[in-house]
Amino acid sequence: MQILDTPETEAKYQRLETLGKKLGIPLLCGRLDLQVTQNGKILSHRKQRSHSWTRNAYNLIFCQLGSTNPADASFGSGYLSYKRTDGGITRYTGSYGAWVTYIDYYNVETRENESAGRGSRAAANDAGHGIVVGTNGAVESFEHCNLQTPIANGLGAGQLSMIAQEAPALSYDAGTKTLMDTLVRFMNNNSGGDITVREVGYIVKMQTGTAYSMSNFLFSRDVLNPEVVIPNAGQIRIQYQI
Amino acid sequence: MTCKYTEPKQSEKEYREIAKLGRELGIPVPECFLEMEVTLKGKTIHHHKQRSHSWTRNAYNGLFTQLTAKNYNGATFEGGVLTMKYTNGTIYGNNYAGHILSGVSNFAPGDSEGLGSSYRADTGSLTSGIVAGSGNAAEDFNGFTLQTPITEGASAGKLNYSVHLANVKSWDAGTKTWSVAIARYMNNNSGGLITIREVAQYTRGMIYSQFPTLMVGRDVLAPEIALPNAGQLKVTYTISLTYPV
Repeated sequence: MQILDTPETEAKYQRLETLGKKLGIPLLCGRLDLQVTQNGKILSHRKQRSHSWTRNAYNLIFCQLGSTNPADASFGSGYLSYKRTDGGITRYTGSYGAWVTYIDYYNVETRENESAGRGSRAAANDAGHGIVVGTNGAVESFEHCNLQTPIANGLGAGQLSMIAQEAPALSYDAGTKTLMDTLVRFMNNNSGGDITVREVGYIVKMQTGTAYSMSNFLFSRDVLNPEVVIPNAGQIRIQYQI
Repeated sequence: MTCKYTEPKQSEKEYREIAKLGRELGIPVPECFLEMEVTLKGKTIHHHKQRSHSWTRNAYNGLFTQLTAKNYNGATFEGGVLTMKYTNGTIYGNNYAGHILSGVSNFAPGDSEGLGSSYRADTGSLTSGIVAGSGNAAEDFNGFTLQTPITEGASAGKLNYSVHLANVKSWDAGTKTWSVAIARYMNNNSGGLITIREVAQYTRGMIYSQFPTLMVGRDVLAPEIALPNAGQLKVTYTISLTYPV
């Protein structure tokens, strides 16, 4: 397996985590693990830190800890709002805000959030939710609200069969006192040709209104360097660990 | 009287180092400050500011479940288990999503800043907001309530809690930092001195059909603060997050 982060960068992450534990500051770190196989053989396997929480994720953290409504009409530096993957802005306007928490339509009750199609867990064939991939290697931007060139679900040229995301798995490292959520998704290439993956995203559904009104929000996007090639009849397994 | 910043130099240096690393690596580093001011007959007799050191497991679990869209699930409150522990000691984790905030509108996320929701307690209410206590047991990550809360009232050992102030948020374009100040006044009409040794942030959260009171931070004060009879205490928690751009 190939580790992509340099020892110097990894040392900084570890110093950050050490200080977080010492000072009592909650830190949310992401790790990516990508493995490509074909006919039962591993063609590539790499692991790296995820470097790219977006403004959506930062705004969510601030609004949660500070009990603040994301009420701004603009999205960008100095504004509190969320930008959907369709480019539209979601904000609190006096009626509805946006939470990851899933609320029942008929009762003022929260519901479970880990079923396929909810939260961070994509259903089969959904290329716009959960762990997603694209072909565009444009540099990571804090402002991004979607992948730059998402790969669609399907069997046609340039398409991948998006398998249902696996149930998220919680684990705990008692030594480092680290709680981890592991998200895994497989995608199959039956397109007839190679597909080159240059970007990976993490898209979460938030409830933005009543009647189960949900929208997709990009929380993270990582550009892959080097890119990853999935040959025809090959499969990629993407693991995102927070 | 000017405000005295009491954070020790060494730990302040480490707070600044972690903030710098967070900016460089793209990892959000939430910071929290606690400011306390005591006045008597219009005169400030104590004013200090420090780092708040004590986000609790409830706060960590709340943040984690939002970024990962996880359910709360479990029967204990400890490492490796995602649950909420209410100030009354109840542990809840029945496989539902939950929230450290509240404020629901027509079965959907609503106003998190409204009176009675999240941190914003009403007059005399200890079900949320900033609450003071007289216990000085060491800060505990698994803590779920003040050791000895000072109750509402005008008799011996009690405080009159004012309605929570509206949140005041601000953006510093130079440092790219969002901050929100959460503040509350408390009056001592007890007839005697009240010694405050602990202060906490309580919030009204939401899980399934319940709106529990959750302690998300508790700070033990050293030195303790003496609030004379007829005096007033203002406690402000400022939560901030520095953005990369």
